[in-house]
Amino acid sequence: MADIVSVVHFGEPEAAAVLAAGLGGPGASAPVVEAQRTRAVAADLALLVLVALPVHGFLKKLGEMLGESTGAGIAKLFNAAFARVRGGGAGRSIVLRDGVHGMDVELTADLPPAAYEQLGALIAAEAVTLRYDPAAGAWVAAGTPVDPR
Amino acid sequence: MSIRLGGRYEVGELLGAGGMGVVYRGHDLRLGRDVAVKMLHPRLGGDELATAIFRREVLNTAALNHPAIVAAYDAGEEPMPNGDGVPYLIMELVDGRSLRDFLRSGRPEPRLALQITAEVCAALEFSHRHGTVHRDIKPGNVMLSYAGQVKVMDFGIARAFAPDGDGPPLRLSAAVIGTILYLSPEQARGAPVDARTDVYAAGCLLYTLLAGRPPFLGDDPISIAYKHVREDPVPPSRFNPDVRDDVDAVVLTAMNKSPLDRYQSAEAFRAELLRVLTDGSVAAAPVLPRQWTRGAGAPGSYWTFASHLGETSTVTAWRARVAERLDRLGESHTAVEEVVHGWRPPAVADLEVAVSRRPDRADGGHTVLLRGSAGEVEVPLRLPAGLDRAVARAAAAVDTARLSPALTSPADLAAVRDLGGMLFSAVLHGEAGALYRGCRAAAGAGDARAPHGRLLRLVLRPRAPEHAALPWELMFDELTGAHLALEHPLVRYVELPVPVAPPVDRPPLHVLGMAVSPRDLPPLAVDEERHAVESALGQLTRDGLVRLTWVNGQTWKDLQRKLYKRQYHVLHIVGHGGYRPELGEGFLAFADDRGRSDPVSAGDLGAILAGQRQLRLAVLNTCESARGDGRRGYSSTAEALVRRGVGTVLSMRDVVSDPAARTFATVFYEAVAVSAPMDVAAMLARLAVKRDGQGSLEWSTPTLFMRSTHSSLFGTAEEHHG
Repeated sequence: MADIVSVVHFGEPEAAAVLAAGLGGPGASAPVVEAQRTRAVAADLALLVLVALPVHGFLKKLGEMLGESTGAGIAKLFNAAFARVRGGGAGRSIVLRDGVHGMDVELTADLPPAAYEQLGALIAAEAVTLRYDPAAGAWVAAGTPVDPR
Repeated sequence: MSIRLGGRYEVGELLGAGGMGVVYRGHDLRLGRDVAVKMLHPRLGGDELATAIFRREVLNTAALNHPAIVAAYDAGEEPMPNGDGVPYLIMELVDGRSLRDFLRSGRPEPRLALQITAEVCAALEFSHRHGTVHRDIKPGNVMLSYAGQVKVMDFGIARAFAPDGDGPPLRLSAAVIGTILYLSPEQARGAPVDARTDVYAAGCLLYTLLAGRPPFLGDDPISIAYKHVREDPVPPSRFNPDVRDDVDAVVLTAMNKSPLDRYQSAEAFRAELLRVLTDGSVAAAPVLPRQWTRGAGAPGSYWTFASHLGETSTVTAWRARVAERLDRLGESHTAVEEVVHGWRPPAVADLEVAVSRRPDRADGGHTVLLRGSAGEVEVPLRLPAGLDRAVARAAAAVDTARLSPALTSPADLAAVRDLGGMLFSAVLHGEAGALYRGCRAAAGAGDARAPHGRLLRLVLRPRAPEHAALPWELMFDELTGAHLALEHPLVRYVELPVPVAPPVDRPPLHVLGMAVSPRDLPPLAVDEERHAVESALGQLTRDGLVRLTWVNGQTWKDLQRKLYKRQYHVLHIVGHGGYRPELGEGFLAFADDRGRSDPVSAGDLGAILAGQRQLRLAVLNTCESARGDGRRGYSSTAEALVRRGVGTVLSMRDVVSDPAARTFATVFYEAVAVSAPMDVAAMLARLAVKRDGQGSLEWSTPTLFMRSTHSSLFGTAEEHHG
């Protein structure tokens, strides 16, 4: 996994290290990169996981590596990272970016294991941002691009 | 990860940078030795003339094998992903320092000064014998090894010559030529040069070593060039009592205004230096001391001066002001301007690309009207299916690059190229593409007014908001394998029935800067950008042509108070910004009285600036200042200012990283300071973001809106006279 994943942090090196160790697999750690500062105002993003695979393929591989077929192991891994984010990760997010299609998935600290299972079953191949709607119990696309035609 | 050239040379630390080249320590993996690696300065990448000069240096240096000339070992070109080659030169690594650095710790004893100059003459004698005039002898181009060896380097602007003076034509009018402090009178006049030109510069070099200061100083390059042509130098003994009269005589002979009255060769100059060193007998006429009893000041703050001006041959001034001064001095404007400024802003030819609704079509079809020097053509707009997805995918690629350029993947580059290709084909298909290529060829060929060719400027007029929202800056030409915005000035022309700020008719140009970094937002390197802008405009400021002031404070009221006091021509804002989709409006993050973020909407910023009727340029170096909603026209922060009459607004479409924004601003002002039009400066700055950012895709983020096709910040004669 270490060769297909990079963990980018926004001033959260400890959380990044925890997640990189978990994503790297036995005896390995995914590379950690500190994001360049930007001139943007938004500061709710803690980490970004850049994956050189479609998200569903990545989650499948991650589940196999963790030895769990349910989303519990994956949720545990991300929640461990959230626990190291300043303030316990409340109001912050970790983005999973599909480096093949440019799709972003916003993960939050309170996501249930079932959300990860649903995500792994989604075959999405578009540059959209997915957010989990707890009321609907489903992932929804936000910010659908305007068709200029 | 280290860079390897030609599979053989590993590139290490930066050793130094000059006007055109950068030198790195390198290691030859095959022979296991350290070398020096010289490459074209990143900001000149893609500049054909600079590349040609660099290649010529490779040839010049390779042809000269002499113990007093830095040896060339190898040369090559490293292929880039876009198909271009980056030329490099592998040279001998001299374990020492340049005479410029050496002089910082004080002047040497006269005897050592004479020995060093004799060695420089030996190198020149050899290069002249091989038909090459160096043309840029100065302390920065002479290395002194710790073992005491002298090595001349940088034959970049050298020129081959024939002994009868009928050398190949000089093609350097647009290039960096010489250094003012060591400029011969014939160079200043634009007259032909020969080996005696190098004798003059070597005389100036000896002067500097003896006196601890160059022969002529002045407030600006023009006055120094004038002194080289008209004034006799003060003998170096005036500044250094250890210099004998006979040494004065040798220096002043080498520096005679007339080439006929100088030593006629480097060999003759060297022979004279060696005679002085051995027995003190000199052939040169003694200097009459009474000439120099008045008017020569003590050595002043030369090294500060030199580091900011003297070693920089490209420092320029407001051209109209220069012309006025040269007229007073009675000199030829063109010759001195070319030599002193060393760089002439390129001429441009326009290709207008207007996208609008077809009046004869009820189905909402759009048409593209192209108008350029090669003709006019109208074609339908062809936006392909899947364009919206391609836009989103490319946006993700640019966003990944702003996190860190190292994260950019081949898939990201392909996504940006694919979208760029779609946008290109949407407007430049069929006859439109042929017209584009025709205009490009015509511009490159030049004409009577621009014999060295013109840059083709693309003037985009996308009238519908959904078309204006597209990132046209990414347009990619599959045929040439290049993004258009890296090779053409690309402007978004805004048509509004609002008066535009008038040209600035007299100096100084008033520039107002404001740097904001609220304490509850991630800190920005605002001081570095402030310093970079001050440095880029430094010479113009010292010349009295620009007055740069900064807002004290970070609140919008601080800005407003400053604006009460006078009309400004340029506003530069460094800080955070963003776009609120729910409101359909952008904002800039000022600080409140407690230093916390206080977002000011684009509309309110326009109101704050409403009284500024002279504002010619606004640089909004903040995130998403060019972002609109794609549904209403002119909805971005930048366009809000354009609607208020600001002539040009330079802004950022996407979230931009602090380093990319800073690089962009630095190079933009550096280019503007050497008279580059604003759109050309933006093009140069894009390239700097790409190259300094290790190929970063953030070069596509800056967006230039203009209300006028006149793009000189300082105004042109044509503009002033309508």
